[in-house]
Amino acid sequence: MTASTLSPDKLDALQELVNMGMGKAGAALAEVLGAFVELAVPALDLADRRQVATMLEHGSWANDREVEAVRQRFFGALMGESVMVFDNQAHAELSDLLGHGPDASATERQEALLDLANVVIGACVNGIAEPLNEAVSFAPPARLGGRAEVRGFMSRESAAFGQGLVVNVDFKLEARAFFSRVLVFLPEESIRRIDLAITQLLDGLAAS
Amino acid sequence: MRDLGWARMRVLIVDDSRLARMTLRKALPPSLPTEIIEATNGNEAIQCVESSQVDLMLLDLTMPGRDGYQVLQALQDVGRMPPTIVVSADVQTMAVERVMKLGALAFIRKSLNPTELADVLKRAGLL
Repeated sequence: MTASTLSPDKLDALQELVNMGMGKAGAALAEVLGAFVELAVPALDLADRRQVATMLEHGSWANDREVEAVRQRFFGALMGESVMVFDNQAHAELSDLLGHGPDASATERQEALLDLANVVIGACVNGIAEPLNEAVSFAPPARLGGRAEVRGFMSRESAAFGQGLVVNVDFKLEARAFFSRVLVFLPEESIRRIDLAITQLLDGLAAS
Repeated sequence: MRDLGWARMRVLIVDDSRLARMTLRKALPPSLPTEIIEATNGNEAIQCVESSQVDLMLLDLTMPGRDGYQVLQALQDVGRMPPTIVVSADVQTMAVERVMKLGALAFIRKSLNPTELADVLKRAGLL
């Protein structure tokens, strides 16, 4: 299976499903953070894992700023693993919004990132799984580390999760902003299931 | 309340996603005679409304370029706002309040089966 497996129409459908999931996540975050969350259209692409591994070298991420990543496994209707990468601004912004202030401990800052990743990854993966009509279960999110750990993670297990679904999600919280990116790694079987479910969904809509 | 004797209601569906546009087409009550036109972004939507009659606009909020809020604001500014139902995944309370202030008739949460559209059309006197 190659990165071109999902047609543009199917990628559009998948993007919309993630968008629906992100809408719910945005509402949950707005309530927790007490701030209006400006949602952008999540950009979605299916890429070979080795290509995904270079994502930290391009665009908004192509600088020496430190990043922080959280990983979370999921199973059930879909199985795979997701990684959410934040720029280091996220630490400070989130801690501040959650009322920890500038003196927040490392543990408090870490918990804030884990909580946010849990909500956002859940929204993305549940959105992707929506047409499957089956539940997805999640392991607890865990800290992955910085750039070096993310690179190391990308270079491992390539046989198990050869394709990466790259979901770019930018959050703007009123006057605050930080970058984040969600990567969803799926084995070929999961991608095949999604492909089939989206085909049925689109065929059903086109027939009516 | 509008005259319910629609010869053909001209409905503008505004969404950057083809899936979302297909879903909304399907959600329109089959008993309602419609002519459906589509726009894939905010600028196209404004052009459609300014250049032709639109009896109902189904408007997404989160779109690249001009978003749904900007479309509502622009149409309000020129006094050309058609009856508009916002259909969005962004279900924050503040988002709903914001679009209602900008003149939307109603807000519907995006889903693969937006069954409430018919109810909203009835409540708005459009069906």
